[in-house]
Amino acid sequence: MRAAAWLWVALAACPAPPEAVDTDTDPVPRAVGDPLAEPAYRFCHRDGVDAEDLPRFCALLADAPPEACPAMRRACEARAFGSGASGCGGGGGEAAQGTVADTPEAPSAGCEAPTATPDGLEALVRWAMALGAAAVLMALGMWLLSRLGVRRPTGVAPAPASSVDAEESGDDTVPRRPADGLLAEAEAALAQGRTDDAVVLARAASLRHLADAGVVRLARTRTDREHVRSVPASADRDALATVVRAAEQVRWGRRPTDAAGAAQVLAVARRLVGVALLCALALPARAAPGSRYGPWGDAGLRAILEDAGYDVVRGVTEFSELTEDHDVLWLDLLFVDPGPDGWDAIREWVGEGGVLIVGGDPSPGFDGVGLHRLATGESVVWVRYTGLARQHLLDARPAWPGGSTYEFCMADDTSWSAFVFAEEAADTDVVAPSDTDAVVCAERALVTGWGWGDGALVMVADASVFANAALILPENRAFLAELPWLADRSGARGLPPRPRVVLATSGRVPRDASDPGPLANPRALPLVAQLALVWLLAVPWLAARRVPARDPDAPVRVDLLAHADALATHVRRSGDGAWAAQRVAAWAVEAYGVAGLTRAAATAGEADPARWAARVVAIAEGRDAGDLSDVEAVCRTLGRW
Amino acid sequence: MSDAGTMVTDVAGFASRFATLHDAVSRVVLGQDDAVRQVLVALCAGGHALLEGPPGLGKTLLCRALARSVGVGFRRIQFTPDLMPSDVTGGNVWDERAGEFQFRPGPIFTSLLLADEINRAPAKTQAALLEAMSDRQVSVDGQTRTLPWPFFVVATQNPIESEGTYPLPEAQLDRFLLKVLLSAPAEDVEVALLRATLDGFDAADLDAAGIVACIDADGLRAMRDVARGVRATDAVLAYVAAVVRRTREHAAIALGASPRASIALLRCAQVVAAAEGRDYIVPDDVKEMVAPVLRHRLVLEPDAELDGVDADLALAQVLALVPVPGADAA
Repeated sequence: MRAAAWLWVALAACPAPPEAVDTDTDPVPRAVGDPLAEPAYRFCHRDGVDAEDLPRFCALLADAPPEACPAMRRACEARAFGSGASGCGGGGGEAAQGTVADTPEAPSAGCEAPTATPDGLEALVRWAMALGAAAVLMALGMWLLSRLGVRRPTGVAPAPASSVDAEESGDDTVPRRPADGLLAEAEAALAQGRTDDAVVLARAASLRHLADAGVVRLARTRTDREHVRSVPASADRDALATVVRAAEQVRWGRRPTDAAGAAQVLAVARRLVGVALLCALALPARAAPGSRYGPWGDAGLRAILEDAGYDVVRGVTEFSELTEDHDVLWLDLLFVDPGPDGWDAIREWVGEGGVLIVGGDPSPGFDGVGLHRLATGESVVWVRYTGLARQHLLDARPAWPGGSTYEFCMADDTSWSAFVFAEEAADTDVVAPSDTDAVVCAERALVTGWGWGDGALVMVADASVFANAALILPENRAFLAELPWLADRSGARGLPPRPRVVLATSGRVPRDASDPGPLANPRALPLVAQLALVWLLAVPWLAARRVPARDPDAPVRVDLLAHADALATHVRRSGDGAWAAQRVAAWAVEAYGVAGLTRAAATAGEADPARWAARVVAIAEGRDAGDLSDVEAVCRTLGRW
Repeated sequence: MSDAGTMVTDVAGFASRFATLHDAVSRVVLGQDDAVRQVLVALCAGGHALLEGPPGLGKTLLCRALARSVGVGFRRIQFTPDLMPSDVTGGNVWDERAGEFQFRPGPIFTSLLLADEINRAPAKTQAALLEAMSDRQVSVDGQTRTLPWPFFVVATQNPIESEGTYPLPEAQLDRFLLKVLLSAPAEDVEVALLRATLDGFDAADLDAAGIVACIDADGLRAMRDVARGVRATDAVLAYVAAVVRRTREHAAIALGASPRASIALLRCAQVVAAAEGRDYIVPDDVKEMVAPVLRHRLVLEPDAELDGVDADLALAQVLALVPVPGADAA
């Protein structure tokens, strides 16, 4: 076995962190008959997966049917999230359930701090051991590399002539090789002066990357342009269009590309394909693969809606794509930030008759909705309607795990026609939204509605009730199934018999506002360990690329790269490039300091290192809105250094 | 003023002129961009177009605006059940002063002819027009007369009313390079149309709308020459052939497209490529034109028609079966 392979085998031997699990795939066969049946929240059947996200929901076990979600019970019990000893509810046994029932609204702080438990320490030790083992293996691998490596005079990878031949024969023009490997071949082709091959391979790499990321669906009967058109309007689409156009000239126009043109195309493809490995790992938990089946996932929501007769779609990737064919938009602001343009599109769509169900604070998009404030621990126990007959009450009363964390505050002088209220506030609170304004909270609403144009908003203050883990309670499942029809009673356009619901939710774990960042987050420790490992492994590999000793063992290398790429891909797909840029820049500033960044920029050949470093700092501090190209720039510069 | 005098010599010039024509026509024919584009493709490819759509969607206006933009003569024939071939082609009439028969040209002697509701005339009259379309000449009393150049026919038919109509036989439909479907415009377009009407737009007065000739007959000839020079690789040619051949094997299609259809598809793809400023065809050009070029050349199986399959659906299935050269394996 080649030396490099040893390194990857060593890494593969390390326990994968939770983020590494591809939870996007359906863990059990799709067989949801009864929305109240357990498969509706199928994450329950995966022992140990995302268990650290469970604590908030363990309290719900007290009220859940005893047979519901045994895996969740086991996880809560094993992790002691719900044990009576720690003061948390939902221990799994009868006694534990009783404990939860006694204190449903007051989970202790211990429940919210999984890393403070012995398990957290154990995980740390486990990772430290893995790190040590990998270091030993890496040293061994480097020794083998130095002894056995055969240096090649030029080039990185073997000439990819066969792939280009395949282009012309039409057999398989986007080879089933990883995108980064294709890109490396393209770079090698460019280095060897085979500019046309470089462009064609850049096209293949771009398409393969987007296909692997699930953005495009490659098909033999679709043209490149159709693939481009299938990508939602974004920087990715523009980049792909550029690459495809250049490749067309070569493939169909038989027009040779000069070196400068090929280099430009490669640069675009590189931007498309390669958010660097380092960056992928530097991205925090939010960049982890979406887990629709984890505790915070939305697979249960989807299953419940489908079983309740809704036509659930995920096809809308831009809010501007909402049309009158979509009846309900289900927006979870814990995970999805529409941004100004998105809010504009949503507002217009609602005004034309759409129903927006939004979890969280929609005031950035809808002025006058009311204030969104942190609750003091009350749970919702009562939902009532204003202006509606008694029979219009919702049958199901939702229950938030540990009580709703948020609630809407309504001032006396609000003129909006809310039709769902929580109970009136026992006392009045004064909330100051700004220095110049203050609102007296007359009522507190946890679920509320508002007519807007021809449509309606249904607002749920705390979106955690949407999560899979909250669905162990039958009343929550019934509540969600009924929620869209609440808008129907508001006098809005009304929903058709089989409403089409667009889910803008996600299975990723939301971060607390107080979360100091990925590297300071205990949950990110496995990620940091992986970062260290991969960085150590990447150094000799990068060196090998400059003065190649051996061809990288692509099949082995690919798995980890694919994993790393998946982290970054999710950021790209979510379109939150500014967020990613800020996180990476913040990490870079913290790790290198301004002086280090300046040195890195100078070493990497930046024209104005000081200015470059200043921009990174500005992005880190939010004074300058970065995007994914900045992520790439930071990583590449630091990587070269 | 237009740049009608500038001769098109390359694909860049073609693309520019094509865009100018498109903009000019689209300025008055709102919300029918695809239809306008396809009619222009037919014009530049040297074929004729069959427009199908309900009344009131701007078919006549499209033709008039096109004629005005191209700067050629325009005539319109309203086809009716009692229309005779001589009403189309013209005929010999006795000239008492000269003491002989003189040929009086019919409305077909023009460059851009709108054959409105062509399926309302009997087959004999249709045939007179269709002969002219294929050979660019008419025969009256044994004498052949050549039609002016260019000769471009835009025929319309209404898909809704079938009573009192004489559907065109497949062989005659094959003479049309394209069949263009028009549909009702989107709501915002309709509002814009109403706004333009309030602002004084009159479909009968194209001068007021600022439609001027963007090109003349020579310019059109140059455009056609440029389009004919667009290249295609063997793979693209094979793709064209494969698509057409597949129509002959599809279960829902009783009669597939002919080799003439292959040529038509290629010609149209050439124009589409040139309109983008390319001197080579990409598979997407072919795909774009498959439906308009082939939809009227197919005869569907009766069972398939009863099942709700129409030509466009069958062609979509064909396209979903034929691998694109250079595409990835699924």
